[in-house]
Amino acid sequence: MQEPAAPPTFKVAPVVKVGRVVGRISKKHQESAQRQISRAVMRWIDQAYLSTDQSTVRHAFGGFSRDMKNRAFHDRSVMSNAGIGGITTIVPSTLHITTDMLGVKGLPAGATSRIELRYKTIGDQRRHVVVGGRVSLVHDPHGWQVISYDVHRGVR
Amino acid sequence: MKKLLRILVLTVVLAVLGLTVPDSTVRPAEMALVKINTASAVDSGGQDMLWILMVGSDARPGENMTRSRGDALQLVGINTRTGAAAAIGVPRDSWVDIPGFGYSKINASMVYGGPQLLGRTIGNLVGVQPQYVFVTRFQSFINMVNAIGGVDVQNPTPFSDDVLHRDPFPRGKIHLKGYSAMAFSRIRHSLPGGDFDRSRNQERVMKAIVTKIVQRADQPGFLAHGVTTVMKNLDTNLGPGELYRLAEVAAHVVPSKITSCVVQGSIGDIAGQSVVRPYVSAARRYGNDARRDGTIKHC
Repeated sequence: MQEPAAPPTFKVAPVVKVGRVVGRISKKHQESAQRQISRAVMRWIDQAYLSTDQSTVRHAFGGFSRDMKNRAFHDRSVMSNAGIGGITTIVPSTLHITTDMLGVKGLPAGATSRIELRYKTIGDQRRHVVVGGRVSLVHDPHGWQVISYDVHRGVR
Repeated sequence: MKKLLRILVLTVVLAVLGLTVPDSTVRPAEMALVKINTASAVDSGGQDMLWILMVGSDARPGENMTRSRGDALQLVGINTRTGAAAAIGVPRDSWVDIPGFGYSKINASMVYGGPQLLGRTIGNLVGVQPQYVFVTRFQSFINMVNAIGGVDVQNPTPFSDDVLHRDPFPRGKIHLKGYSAMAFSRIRHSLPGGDFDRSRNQERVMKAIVTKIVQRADQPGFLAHGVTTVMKNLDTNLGPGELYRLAEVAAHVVPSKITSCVVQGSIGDIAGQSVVRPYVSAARRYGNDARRDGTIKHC
């Protein structure tokens, strides 16, 4: 019988900022979009990479569109820690999320978040991990959803 | 005594060895080999293949772009799972049955029934119906190529044109800005294969555009700029979110997995018009090949 997985030792304080804004978006809508986009991206990062419990990894992709949920789960060896077994503790060090936005008629219509996450895993294997790349999101009736990803993960 | 001496010598040797042999701690790394895994995907609405008809309209300033003749016709199929893409070029003089209007040159189809009818006509020829029809005009095409910083194409034959481009395009890898890319895609009289060679040049330019998009997709704001440029220069009824998704589809194409063929045919003369009678079976084979995995096996 395995011991229950320990929670992450601490949550990293993300550095979240707006990058390039193409087109006009009011300040109010820009801030609101950034909050919602960051929430969707953070949900994935937090549950996929900063959680020791990989049994619920499918939930990490809750902010992804229906098609992307399936594809991300299929790619979970990169899109999560699923490929690293026996993790007892995760020590995050940095997380940067920079979001470029497309504005049309004063409203945000599309966004691309560029991410970089660094953390250390402790357990059966001690690993230094860097995750980087970009995810793009569009706004639909369900809110901001990830519609594409291009992610790389290096493990040392 | 002899045994005692041997033990003493052995002890000294072990002690010296203990001082000189390094312990088992790992030395600081001076090199590292790190395995990088990648994952890439784009939402295609649950369909593996996405078909887009790209049309270069020959509308002059002031003319309705979507009710003019289609000068450049390329049906593009993208496999959103593998990043493979197939481009099927159709000569504009192809003599085909236009639904509801009878036989005519294929480029007249947009005059009769707009982009939808042109999409159906080409879909019937190739055996695959496009989901999207993108129509642009000369100046808009120039603007779009300039917006991505020009393109690099591999030109197999030097050629020029007295009207469109007097400076010859040299053989080999050449960089084309917007106007030159437009001229490179339009010139046919000075090419040995005429309309067929022109279609091949259109495919070269299209592949170069996709390559540029893929190269620059990671640059901050590039896709957003791209969508804005497209919205200004393309006739489309799609919303910006849908265009953003299609921009990502283009950015996920793997340039080395692009295959292309031009539908060949016999040259003829009908009612005083020079026409191409397209080889329909070859066109269907390209469509069938690409439908499976986004790749045309051979032309």
